Amino acid sequence: MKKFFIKSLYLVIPLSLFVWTMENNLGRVKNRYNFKRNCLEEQLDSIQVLVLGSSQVTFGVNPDYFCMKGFNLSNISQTLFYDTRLTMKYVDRMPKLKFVVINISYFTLGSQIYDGIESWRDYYYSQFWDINYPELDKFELKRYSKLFLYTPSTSLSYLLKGFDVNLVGDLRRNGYYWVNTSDNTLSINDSVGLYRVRFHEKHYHDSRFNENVKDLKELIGYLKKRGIVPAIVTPPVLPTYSKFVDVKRYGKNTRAIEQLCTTFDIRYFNYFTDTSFDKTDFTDNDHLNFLGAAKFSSRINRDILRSKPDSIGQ
Amino acid sequence: MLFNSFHFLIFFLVITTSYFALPYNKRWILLLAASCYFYMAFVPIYILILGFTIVIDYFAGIYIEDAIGKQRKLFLIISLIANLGVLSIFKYYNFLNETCSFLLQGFGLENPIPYLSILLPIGLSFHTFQAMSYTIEVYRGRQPAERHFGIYSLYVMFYPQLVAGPIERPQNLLHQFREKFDFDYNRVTSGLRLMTWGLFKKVVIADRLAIVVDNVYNNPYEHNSLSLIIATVFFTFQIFCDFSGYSDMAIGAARIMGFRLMTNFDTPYQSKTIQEFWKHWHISLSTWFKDYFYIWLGGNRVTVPRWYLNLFLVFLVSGLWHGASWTFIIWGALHGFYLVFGLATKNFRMKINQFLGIDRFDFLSVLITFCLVAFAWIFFRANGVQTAFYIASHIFTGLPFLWHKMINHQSVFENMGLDKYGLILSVLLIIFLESVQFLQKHKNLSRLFKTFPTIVRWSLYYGIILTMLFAGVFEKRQFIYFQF
Repeated sequence: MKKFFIKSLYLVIPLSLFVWTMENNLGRVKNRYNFKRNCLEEQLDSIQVLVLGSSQVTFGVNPDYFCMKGFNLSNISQTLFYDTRLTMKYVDRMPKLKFVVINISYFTLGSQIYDGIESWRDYYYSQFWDINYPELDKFELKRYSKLFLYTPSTSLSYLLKGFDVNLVGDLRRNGYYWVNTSDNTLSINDSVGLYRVRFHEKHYHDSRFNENVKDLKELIGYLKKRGIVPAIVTPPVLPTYSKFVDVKRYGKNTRAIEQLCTTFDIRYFNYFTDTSFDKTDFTDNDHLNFLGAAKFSSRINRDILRSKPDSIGQ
Repeated sequence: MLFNSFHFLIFFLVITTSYFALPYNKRWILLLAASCYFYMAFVPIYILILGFTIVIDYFAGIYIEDAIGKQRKLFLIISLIANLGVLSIFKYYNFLNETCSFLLQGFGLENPIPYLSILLPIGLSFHTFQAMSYTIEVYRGRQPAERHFGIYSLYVMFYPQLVAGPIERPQNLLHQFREKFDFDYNRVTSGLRLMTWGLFKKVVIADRLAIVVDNVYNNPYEHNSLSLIIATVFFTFQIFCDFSGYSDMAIGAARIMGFRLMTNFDTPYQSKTIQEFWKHWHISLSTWFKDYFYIWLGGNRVTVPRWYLNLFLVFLVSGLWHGASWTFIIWGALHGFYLVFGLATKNFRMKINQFLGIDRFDFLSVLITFCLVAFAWIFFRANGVQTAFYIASHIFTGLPFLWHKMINHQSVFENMGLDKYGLILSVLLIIFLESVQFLQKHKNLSRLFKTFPTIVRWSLYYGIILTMLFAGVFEKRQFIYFQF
């Protein structure tokens, strides 16, 4: 037994040292999650408007166009579960917070990251935001190890580059992700739009609807209690996307949101088929580019932030 | 709980350490509790199904031993009905129901029998066969009935081989639960080496090949002949690495604690005939069918046509055992046909081979056998019968066109889920695997390994672990045979 124990140490110690070195270095790699967290935490004292949601607002809302200090806390595929937990985690540390813009897209009320092909993002929330989706496997290494979070083969490529990698991209310090589009002809057309709608519908599960509505209620109630004004928005998409959506599902979503708005006395701004946004504003069928983001952010500023809450509603 | 998961690593370390720390007479309790936990990590409620058959078989064994005359047979039949009944409900009910609906539709009738929305308990077919072997052996008087309920339960539930075999016989395993196994350095390291090799086969080879196989087989209509061929060959090695990898890990985990489980694979793709292939592939299942079904049918002690029919039936049922789908039945039938055709034409083929002088080239026989096995795997892997026939009928049809493209320096490789380097690595891994298998067949690798200088051995250990880490696919892919 002693011999086995000593020989095991010969194997385990060098490997542990190697893994520890990798973990340490990978921990210093900046990605969109830890970058956004750091930016948020640095600006907590001054934030007056918080924007929540998925990629449609990550690329579509630039808080620089707001009349007050804003931060875009949305992220790609971010669901209401994370919107709610993130807000609840930080809201009491944001003394100047006045507005929270909640994005509800066509697919939001039926989605959980856990169900789809982007379930790996759950582990980023676990590691970088310390928010764990309840269905996550407690024994999944991605929850605890950066080596497995980035995947070992990708980590190896980072090691070969001396860990000098930029995973932040064009993410700005206000949480907005800047997207340029020089040519969007290939990404905007009926077939890509249809594919995109079907992709969203594939990951829309009716069984998740009640969970999301519950989270939304919890979020709104939490904000209202603190005197913060929540507003729900549905971002614009092109007709190459909107014409393919399931009308019944869209109606169900809209009715649920309107019912919540009545219950909590809050406002809903639906830009889904807003014709003031055209092809030049989009990078693809359902994501705005930097021009569209400027336009959409200005609209949010005009409709939500500058208006008196009791006089405007759509 | 998958063998290729962090969960299992923790479980294995805790259980194995506790096993050696406990006194001999308490170890069965630990192993039984661990096995229950292991099984319940999948779908907890299904432990009740196992519990039901365990109780039936435990008492059936005792009653069979104690009874005399026709009563013995009665208790055996009760046990078999209970085991096969549970298997039929969970595995075959919906399949039979769908087949009935299809047939009735032909007559313009509706099937009034409802569809059951149930999941197949993991490893049920393995568990059922192992349980059946116990009552049959007691009935045949070759195994005394086990009077200790805990030990009997452990025989059926022993966690290393609970969900995907090897399907053990009571004569080999039951008595081992009463043996006193001390910590033995050589045995433990040998078990660990086997587990590591099994894990390597699973995460580095099988799961890497699975990326291409899934990509092509889930949408074969969008792929050319070359992709279909590559995916089929890759699946041939994927299923071997997946299943033999599991078996190695099971045998290794058991060996560390002192238990000897039967060998399940022995270089099957180096077989020269289909008959030889089945002596080297999933040995525990093949011998089960031989001992309890083929011999019961009369084996080869019957007329020649009846012998052929017996063989064919065994493979047909073996196909059905694998899955409640026509694809598995066709796969079994194909192997049955290969075997019967091989036997019926044996003399003729031998004469032809001698005449052409190709009987001296074993390599050709190995290659032909490999191609036949690979072709049958198409039906095993395809998502449906229609897809399987599409693949089988299109696998060579586009080759002239591809050849034309190749000589014109145009790319013939499609998006198969892996880039060029990924594909090259996959091929190299297959070559590496077969080289190891070849060496294993001719030399005792463990003994050979011990003769290496320490530095070479340790470099190999580190090399294999780092390769697993960086070239492994950690997507928690289930083992293919878990579904059976």
